[in-house]
Amino acid sequence: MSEGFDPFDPDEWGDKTGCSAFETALEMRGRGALAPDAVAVLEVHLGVCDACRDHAARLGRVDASLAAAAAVPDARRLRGKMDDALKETRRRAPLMLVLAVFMMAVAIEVMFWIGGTPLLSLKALLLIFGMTLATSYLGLYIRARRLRRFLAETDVIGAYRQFLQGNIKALRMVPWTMILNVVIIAPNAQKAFQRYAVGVGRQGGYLILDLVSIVLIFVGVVSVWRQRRRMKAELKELH
Amino acid sequence: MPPSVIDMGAAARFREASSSERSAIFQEIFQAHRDQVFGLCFRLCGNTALAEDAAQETFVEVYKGLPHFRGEASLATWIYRVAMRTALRLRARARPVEQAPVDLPPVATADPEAALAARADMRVVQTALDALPAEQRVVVALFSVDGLSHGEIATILGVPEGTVWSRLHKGRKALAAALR
Repeated sequence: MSEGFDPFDPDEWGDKTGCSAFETALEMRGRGALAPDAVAVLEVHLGVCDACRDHAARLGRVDASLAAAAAVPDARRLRGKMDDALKETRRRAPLMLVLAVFMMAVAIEVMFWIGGTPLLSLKALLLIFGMTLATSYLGLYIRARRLRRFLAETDVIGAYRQFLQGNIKALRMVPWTMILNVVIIAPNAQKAFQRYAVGVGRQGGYLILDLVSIVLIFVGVVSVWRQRRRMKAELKELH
Repeated sequence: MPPSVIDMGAAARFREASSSERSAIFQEIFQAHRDQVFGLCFRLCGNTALAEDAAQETFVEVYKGLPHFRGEASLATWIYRVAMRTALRLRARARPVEQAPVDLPPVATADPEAALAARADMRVVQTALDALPAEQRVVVALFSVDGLSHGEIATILGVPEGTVWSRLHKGRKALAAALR
């Protein structure tokens, strides 16, 4: 049966040969969508065709199994899990994210201070805070917009497939550009680390910042790679 | 209370409600759709633990999305869409061991032999359902949710009604073949 097949069109019924038309008729009878005269024709056929009679019996078992598998959830446990997830969502409010990044910025400042270099001005701190706040909210806004647009699509599976394909394509080059960044900063990181390790010249925690950046970039590469792999698996699942 | 009654104004009330009132309205929506959403997730995931996770994530998404719900489709249609997308995503992400249909619900019959046969059928049907292409699996799963017509399924999936018939027919035929 093709995707464009119209089961309500008797002309298309006429085109069918053998039992396939009766299989369709069985489906329609089960949904109460078969005219009484067609039901009579079907009953006559079922009386003489073992294959269709078996098929009808198996369809009945399929329906019974699907209905029995409509397991009622443990309401209290589901409610509890959902409440936990909602609390978790609230805990992960943007303000907390902003605060975490801000604390990281402060830690870097302290590293500078321990290294003997002057502490950055309050203006710089406020700038970092403002930028982090803005980027976090922008990220959340974009995500929310994409989510809303996605949910508004009529063909959800098709839209989700496109969404995954777009993301996989967009993420394809990301690890390579990240690795290029490592290549660019690696020579400087090596020199700075030598000064830090040997104790030559002005010392300070900032000397290992490039090295920390390289590690973070590699974490990012692995994360992007895993994300792509997960999305490819989802795409495969959608056939 | 049936879902249709809840649908009529719950989303609009939720939008205008204060945060304390929202919990009560959301509770109504949750109660009205919980079993259907869980049933759909169970059929799409084939496993209670994964289905619970999917149902829970669905309602979290619904809670977050309700203020933006504009009523282009009915609330139930929208919730089923979210549930379907969430269940497919979680299933794809799950490890194979989590996907195994290990915990089928008990069969309510006094005859032990009949119960055994029914459980065997359920296992075969669930395994065959898992093996169906996503498009057919979704249609069969939605169809087994109580009270959803072909038209409603077509609206949820955004495809013509004839396509729903066709996919349902192919899917059920494959399930019936598995019971041979």
